[in-house]
Amino acid sequence: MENRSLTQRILALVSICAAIWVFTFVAGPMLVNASQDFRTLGDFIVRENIDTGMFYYTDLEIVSHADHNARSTIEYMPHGPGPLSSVGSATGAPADQ
Amino acid sequence: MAEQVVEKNSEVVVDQANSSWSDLWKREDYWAIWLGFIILVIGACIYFNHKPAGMDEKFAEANAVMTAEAQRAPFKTVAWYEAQTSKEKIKAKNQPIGKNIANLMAHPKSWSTNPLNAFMQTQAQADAKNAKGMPKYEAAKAAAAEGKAAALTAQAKAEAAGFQNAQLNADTSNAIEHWLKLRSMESSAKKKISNKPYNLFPGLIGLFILFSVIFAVGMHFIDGSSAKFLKGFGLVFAVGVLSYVMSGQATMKQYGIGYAAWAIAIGLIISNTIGTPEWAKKALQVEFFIKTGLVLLGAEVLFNKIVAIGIPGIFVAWVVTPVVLISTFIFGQKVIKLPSKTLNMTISADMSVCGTSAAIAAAAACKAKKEELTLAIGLSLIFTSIMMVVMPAIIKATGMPYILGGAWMGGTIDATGAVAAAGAFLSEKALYVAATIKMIQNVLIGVTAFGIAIYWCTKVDCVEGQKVGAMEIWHRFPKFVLGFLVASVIFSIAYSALGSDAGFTMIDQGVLRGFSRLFRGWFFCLSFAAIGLATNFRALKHYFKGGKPLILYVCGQSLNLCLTLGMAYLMFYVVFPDITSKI
Repeated sequence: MENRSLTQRILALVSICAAIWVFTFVAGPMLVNASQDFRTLGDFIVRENIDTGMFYYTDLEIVSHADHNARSTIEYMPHGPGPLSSVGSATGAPADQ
Repeated sequence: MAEQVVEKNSEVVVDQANSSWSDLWKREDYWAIWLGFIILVIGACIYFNHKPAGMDEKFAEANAVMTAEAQRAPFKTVAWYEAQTSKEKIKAKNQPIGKNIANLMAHPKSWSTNPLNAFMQTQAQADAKNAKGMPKYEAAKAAAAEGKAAALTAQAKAEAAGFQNAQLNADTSNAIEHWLKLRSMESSAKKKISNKPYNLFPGLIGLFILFSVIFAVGMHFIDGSSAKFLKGFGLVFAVGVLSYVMSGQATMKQYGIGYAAWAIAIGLIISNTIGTPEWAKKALQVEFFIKTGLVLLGAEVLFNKIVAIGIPGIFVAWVVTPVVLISTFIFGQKVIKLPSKTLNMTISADMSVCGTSAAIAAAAACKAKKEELTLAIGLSLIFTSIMMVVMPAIIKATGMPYILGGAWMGGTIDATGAVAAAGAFLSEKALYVAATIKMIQNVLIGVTAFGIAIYWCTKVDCVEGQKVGAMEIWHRFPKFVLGFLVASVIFSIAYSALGSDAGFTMIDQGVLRGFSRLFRGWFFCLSFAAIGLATNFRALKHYFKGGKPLILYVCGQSLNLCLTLGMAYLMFYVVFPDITSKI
């Protein structure tokens, strides 16, 4: 880096910024659209405004919702009368899809 | 003990192998602890003096309903869910003071094509967005109301049969699940009509001044360089703000490229093109920012969370993870023969525990180099983006039950945000399990950091065969880890003492999410910006030689994928099927 002139260094900076612009607005969306799975997931992420780059559970409200639900399920687990079931599910509910 | 003069290597965090009382106001580790604890105490004072009105009565009412409904039916009824939602809505941070704090500490928001939208939104723009979203909201609201009516009808039929008819019960569960989906869509649609005008510039200026003062005070006592620090801090803060802007862009969110990656990238671009100016270098206080952030992160490591989903969650998150971590580290040392132990540990922790946050904690605990942390985060980011897309596709294609799939993703995908997206994409149940497993893994950071620090003090940072005494361990031990652990213990005890409902409302949704987390996020962002600005590409290049870090990550993650899937199946479908059926 020290051997390059200021002009060269500024050009390098501008080039990288241009490359980021191209990825953000052209190549990135193209790649997302190239795969149906990626497209569907990508639309979902934008629609639900999920911050996928966040790395700790307290950064995301959706995790708080999941935590609260899981905890409530364990603390207030339904145990009312139901039909006998060999699968362990008193509802006879279908697979958890 | 005789004083030892040790040259500070700016590439790593180095503890002098001696201690004195003056360390308490001269050492960076202790300043990280004082600053972190001051922030935590202020947050606690604010929120514990602003308890939501009627909180306890509302909890009691909702719990009574949930208890009665749990006894009445073999599945979660409509009333059960409504009571649970009413409790969940009670959040300390939703009060006026919490909203004011959030507005003041806000980082740049989401945007799509115009980056200015990250900073400003006029009333006209907000009204236009609200008007655009209104038809969809009205439709979603009507659909949710219909879904609820259908669920209640099905439930009444099941109840009329005394809940003895398995088919009617199953129909009711399906109808309730459908209603929950519609309700979630209504909630998402409602957010799209709740747009308000904002202008973040005054807040950002205020934050810049606040952070400048906070860290300049510390720098003054540490080495008297507060003036030089202040000169360069503007650049670090600007890179931090820019990284939040980039991470909020719609395409970047789709790829899971968060502020941490952007802060490093932007810093690297500047330092390796036009160059980081000399006047800014004193502000590149990577360790100071990271350690202060870690002390705040400690408060978020709530041990009560590990029982959130019962024993299955503990086994998947706390049994598999240490096995993978230790196995990968040994593999990296003995088989791949990675030259750097600290790089090995950082990558192993990053991959096996929970990505970036684990990498930060591990790197700080074992005194890894900045370049090593950068590399570990880069690897994690690449594979997170891939796994976030591929794993849901595999789960769907193989017909894997979504609870199993959720547990699998939660225990393997590194970033919590990516886990949440992938889980939510499959189903709400997959989200609950995936996000909860990841949260439990997040809590493992505390134990991991402590274990790594102890291991490094006793086995690595010493001559082979040398017995290390207790005082020597104390001298070498990274003190900020103590602050991290003490914060974790204090807040875990407080959470437990308050009870799960009040703990969730006041601590999780108050002091932490409503205050300390906001500071923590900014401090990590500043540290990554500083890493980028201080790093030369050439310093990174040699780590890629032979592709050993990549091989380590791939091998470790492969083991992680297999073990996690196996343990999740065992716990959720063989040992505890009853818990699974109720989720």
